[in-house]
Amino acid sequence: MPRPSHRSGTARSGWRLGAGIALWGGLLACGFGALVSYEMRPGSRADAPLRWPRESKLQAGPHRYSLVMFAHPKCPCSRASLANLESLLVAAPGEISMTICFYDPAGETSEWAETRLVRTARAIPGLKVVLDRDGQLAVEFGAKTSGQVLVFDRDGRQVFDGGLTSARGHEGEDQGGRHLLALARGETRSPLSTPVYGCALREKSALAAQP
Amino acid sequence: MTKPISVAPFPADYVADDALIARRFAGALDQLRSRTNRFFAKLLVVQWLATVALALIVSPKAWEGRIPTTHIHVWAAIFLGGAISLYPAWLGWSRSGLTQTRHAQAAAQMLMSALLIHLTGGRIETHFHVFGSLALLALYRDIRVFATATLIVYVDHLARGWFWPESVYGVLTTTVWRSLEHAGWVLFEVTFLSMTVAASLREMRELVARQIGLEKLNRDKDQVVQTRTHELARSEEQFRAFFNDSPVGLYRATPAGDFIAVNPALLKILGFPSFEALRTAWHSAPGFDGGRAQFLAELSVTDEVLRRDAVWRRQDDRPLHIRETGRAFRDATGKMEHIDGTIDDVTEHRQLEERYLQSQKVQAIGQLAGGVAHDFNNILTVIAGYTHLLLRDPKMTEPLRHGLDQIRIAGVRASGLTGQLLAFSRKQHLQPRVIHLNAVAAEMDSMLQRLVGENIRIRTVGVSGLAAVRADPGQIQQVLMNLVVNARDAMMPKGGLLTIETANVVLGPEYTRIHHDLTPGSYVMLAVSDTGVGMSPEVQARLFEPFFTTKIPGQGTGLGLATCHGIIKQSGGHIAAYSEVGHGTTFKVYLPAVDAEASAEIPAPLQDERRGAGEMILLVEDDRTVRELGCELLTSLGYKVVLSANGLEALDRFKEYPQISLVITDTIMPHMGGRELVSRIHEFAPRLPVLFTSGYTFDALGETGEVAPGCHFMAKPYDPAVMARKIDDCFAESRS
Repeated sequence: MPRPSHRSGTARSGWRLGAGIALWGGLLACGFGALVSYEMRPGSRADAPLRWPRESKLQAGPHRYSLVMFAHPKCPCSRASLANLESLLVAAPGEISMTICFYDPAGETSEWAETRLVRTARAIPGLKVVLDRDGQLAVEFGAKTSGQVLVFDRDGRQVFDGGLTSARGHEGEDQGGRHLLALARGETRSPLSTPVYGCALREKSALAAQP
Repeated sequence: MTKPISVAPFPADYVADDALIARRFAGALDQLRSRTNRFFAKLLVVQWLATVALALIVSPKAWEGRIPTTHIHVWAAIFLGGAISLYPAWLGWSRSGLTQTRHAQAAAQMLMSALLIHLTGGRIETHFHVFGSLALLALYRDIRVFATATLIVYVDHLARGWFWPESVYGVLTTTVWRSLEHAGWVLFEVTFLSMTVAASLREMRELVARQIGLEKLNRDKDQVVQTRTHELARSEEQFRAFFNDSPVGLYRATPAGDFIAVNPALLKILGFPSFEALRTAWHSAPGFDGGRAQFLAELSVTDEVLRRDAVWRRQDDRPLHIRETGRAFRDATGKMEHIDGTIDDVTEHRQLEERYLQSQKVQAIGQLAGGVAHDFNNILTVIAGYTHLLLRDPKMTEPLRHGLDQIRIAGVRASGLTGQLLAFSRKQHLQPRVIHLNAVAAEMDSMLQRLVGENIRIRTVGVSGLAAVRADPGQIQQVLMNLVVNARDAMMPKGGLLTIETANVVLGPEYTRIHHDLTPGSYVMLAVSDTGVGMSPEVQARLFEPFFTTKIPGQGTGLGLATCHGIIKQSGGHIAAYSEVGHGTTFKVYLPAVDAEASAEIPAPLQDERRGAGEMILLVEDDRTVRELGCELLTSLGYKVVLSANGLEALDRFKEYPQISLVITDTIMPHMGGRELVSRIHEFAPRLPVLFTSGYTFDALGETGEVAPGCHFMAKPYDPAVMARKIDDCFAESRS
């Protein structure tokens, strides 16, 4: 039986190697595609009120605009939202009153909501931190996804509804942040709605029962 | 820009050709890239594990109210990170060195950066992983790898910017230029990394070239070292063989003179079985002279080879004459480290020297004796001859006869003295015959007993079947008598036992090697032993020296043993003495044994004069008085005499008187000597008998002291009776 030549053996080996690398590349492309797809999938949109709810215990701030962010204290993606919020606070000082409401479910201990994210938020000067007991405030403002931001003007009209990140947990420049900065600087007065990327603030069953 | 390392030019002989450099460089590069493959294999796995850990720390869970679920980043880190790293890691171990492996690992490294950026939410700090990875990829020393890495970064950025622009740029619309800007920074780094890699490759190639040169250099050096080592080993082996096989004693010693190493020859010379035995005995043995301290002191102040002679004693206490040479060797500071030297056994040389000196002395005395004997014997011949003639006169009165008799006795004694001088100087006339020493001893038995006196008993032990010897019986009698007299004097006045012994002996090479005048073979020994006072080694050393005597002045001439020595030597034999003080002495005479039958004829005592019958005798003698005496003696014996004063004249006389029936001639004469005269006469009359006369045998008859066949010899001084018998012998032989 004739033995295969070294050259043909090498060529076959090279072909197999090339095919293997190609297969590997395809697999990785799929993997990265799935990952990006997940990161770019926004959370449930809020049924946000067009005006600041009068019955809410949460009071609007003294500045021209009042911003309320709803966040899940354990959501890793919301670290990027808080970071972008802090950047906005630094970029437009004295223009926007900022409040962050962390979900604090009933029936859990007080330590449940005392996360690093909450401690980070408390450490940001000018940012008011509120523990939203059993998500009552979120219900009042129609927020469903961690990272949801609502901005109202001095007259109580909603001027922004959305998130401050361009993807899940993606820190850095994004459309919502740029718009709010423009509002604060008086460069625009038009309202804007953007997707929100983050964990669900409450269980699906609770959300379904939410009016 | 990176410059090549500046190094000194390599020796031209060791610059390799480009093809070899290229082959070795490619091999070295393959090895380096294989190592890098394995490095990245490990690095990728480590990064994967680190990514999983990061995901678990940063975003372990996603939440839905109070309900946690595993965060998608954890699964991405595990599965996507695993997919990124494991396959290239496997390639790095199993397909190391291949181009595809290299590029796959480069792609994986950049995709790991992408994954990390995803997992950290696009933090700008995480982007440094991209640039760090590019720097790590420079380890491959392959610029093409940067192309793959850059392409991965660009495609990733471009694709995400195209499909999800807000995830990259934070806006929903953008242009391709943003991706190009992103890739531009990557290219910025890649450019400099590529320059560094190119410089590194050049340096690597230069190092390979130098490595090849160094290997060749090392091979050459190894060859030289191997050759030198071989030569050194050979030299050492040769030196060791020389050291061990040298017949001369060699040593290395400390500055204090203690031996560090000695060769077998030195052990043999000193008589020690081993070096340890020598070292043990070195300080305690009395045989090693203190004079060596002086020798060592002299060595310590010079670098020259010094020599000295000394007398040591061997381990068995025998005296040992040595000649020692030595040289000091010093260290860099000039301090003496050791001494290398030789010790040669010159005992035999010393003995030979002493014998040579003795021989020179004997020869000088012999020459003196010979010179004196020639003229002195002529004088004694005249004295003795005329005394004999006068004593024949019947009218001689008694007082005159007594006086003449005393003159005759004095002449005989003077003749004996001259004979002894000639004997020890081996210039004695010999008349050798085949004889038995037992017969000689027996012949002299009664005479010897009278000689030694009553308080000395003579015991004769003659072995039966004793071989014969060829010697002059008269001279052997003289030897025996001298030895007996010597023994008697040694035993006086107490007396004792004197043993005369004969035996057949075989002298081997070991004996004849010491006594160079002998050849190995069969000998007949004649031993004379006494129980006297013995002799000290110093006396033994001078025993046969002429005129050496231990007797009081007037009792000995010092010629007795010297005469024995001369006679035995002249007879081809050997005489030796063995003595111990207080125990006695033995003299042993060795004479070569011969196969011939011994002659029963022992010299007969002198008979009455025979008378001639008028035969004509040619008497040739240059000394006028001797010539006249001879004429009178021959005439008185009844012969007619024709006289000549030299050889030429005698030749004329012989031609003039063809009836001449005997020629009596002196040997040493002016114009023509006796031997030439006889030779010329024998041309005309080959059978004519000849009787030589001389006072000095050596000149007359040559070294052997023996006359030619058909000729006879009559030593001066002679008296009428001797002359008559010799003439009668000549005629008798001529007639037979």
